[in-house]
Amino acid sequence: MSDIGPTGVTTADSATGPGRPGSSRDGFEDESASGEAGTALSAPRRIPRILSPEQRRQRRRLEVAGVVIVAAIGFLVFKGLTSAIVFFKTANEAVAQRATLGNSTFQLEGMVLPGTVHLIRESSGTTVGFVVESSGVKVAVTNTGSPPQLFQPGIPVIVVGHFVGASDRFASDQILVKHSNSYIAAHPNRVRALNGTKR
Amino acid sequence: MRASTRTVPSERVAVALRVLGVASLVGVVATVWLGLFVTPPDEFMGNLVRLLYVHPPMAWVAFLAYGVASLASLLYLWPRTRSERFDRLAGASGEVGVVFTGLTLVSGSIWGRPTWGVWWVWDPLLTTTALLFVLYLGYLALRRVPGEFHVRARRSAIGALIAFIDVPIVYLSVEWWRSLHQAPTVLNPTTHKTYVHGSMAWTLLLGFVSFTLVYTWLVAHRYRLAELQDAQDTEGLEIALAERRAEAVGR
Amino acid sequence: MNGYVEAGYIMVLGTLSSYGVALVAREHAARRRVGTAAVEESIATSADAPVTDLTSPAPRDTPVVMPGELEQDAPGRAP
Repeated sequence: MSDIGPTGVTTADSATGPGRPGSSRDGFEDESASGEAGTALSAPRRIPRILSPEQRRQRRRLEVAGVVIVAAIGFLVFKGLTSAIVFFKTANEAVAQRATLGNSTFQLEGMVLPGTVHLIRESSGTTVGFVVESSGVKVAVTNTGSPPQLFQPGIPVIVVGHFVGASDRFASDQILVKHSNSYIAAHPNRVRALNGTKR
Repeated sequence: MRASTRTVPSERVAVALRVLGVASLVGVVATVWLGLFVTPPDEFMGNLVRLLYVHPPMAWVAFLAYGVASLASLLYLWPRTRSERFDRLAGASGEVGVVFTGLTLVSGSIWGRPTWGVWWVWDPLLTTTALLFVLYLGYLALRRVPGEFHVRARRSAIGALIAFIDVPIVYLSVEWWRSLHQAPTVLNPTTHKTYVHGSMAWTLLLGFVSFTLVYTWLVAHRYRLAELQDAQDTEGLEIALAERRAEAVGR
Repeated sequence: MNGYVEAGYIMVLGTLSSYGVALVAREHAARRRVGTAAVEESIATSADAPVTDLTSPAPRDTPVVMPGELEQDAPGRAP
């Protein structure tokens, strides 16, 4: 760039000569000759080189945005590689890996066995006990806190928690209800509106 | 100069845009009416199923927008089709795509809280979608980095294509990895049987069509705004140059 | 219903309409600033113009940048 710079200026200079007076539109050559002469070695730009305070502020904002965005991308890629790749272990996998899992926290997936759900009321709050099953392997779960409103027997759930002590009992503090991608109209007789609306 | 021989019938464009605007408005109103008042509740989700008519269309439009942005970027990069129009289209579609990705995340979060029980989980589909949002925010920021028009346009186009890599990852994440999120109901990458009951399916379809129309309208307006901004920049530049020339003459 | 559905719809419709209204408003403002006549012309000429690359400056650029300036970038044009 720097080696063509001076030639460029020469060209521009010659262009301002009397040879092409009327051909200029808005006298642009004048600007490239006189204006550019001062900054001849800098990269040729159409935009004036001196930044106004507004432009400088804009640039600063852009730099901050760039840093934030790059950081966010990094964070999300990290999350994707650590949490999202193996989002849960099925009940049979968890039992098989019982020894290595120890008391670490992970997501356990399984079907809530019908007839196993029971509420345990304690002074500290509601606890719900149930059994999840996956590929024939059953794990008893105790969940503290109230389950989500769609929680019911016979559906797949993911519980977040850990095995208790050396047992195969699983203590969770969060139940995630999985949902299929099918949507079936409720039978009119069974419509139990959530808060009185009847549809 | 082909350009000088062809004038854009701006009035006809304006009329077409208005028709498009009315059509998308009618479509959205119909979707909302059907979605909230006509369709039945789901046997499992109850009334929460009504979010089905807005959430998947948001995700679809986001994909569509990024697809259009990538196509326009490719057409810009391809020397024989290189045109300012494609740069503007890519920018317009990218911005609208970011809006729809944001809405995908927000509507999904609002749906997730009552159904799953949480606002957010680091599930593969959700994580890659969040990444998609940030990647295209980055694209929009990249577009604002100053520079010569073609330099800026070219690096933006490359940026758009890099960001697009995440789109198939989002789409296939439910198949590649274990997910809390269900597989897509429409345009399902797997062969899982899905079932959407009669009027629910039609309303969902209408939702897809209506929000696609909304997308088209928004992109058209964003494109026109970009055109005006470019014209304004050119004019501003002319003024600035005229000022500098006056300075030089005065010297 | 139960709050979530309403919140979802309001969020989606609200965001899209504010974005749409903002776009139209910005468009009108820009149109006023540029001046309608200039816009018509610029749209008409820019619509089909290929974009500047190093070897062939776009027609649109011609009125703004004179060859002398562009050539600083172009190799093989030294006097």
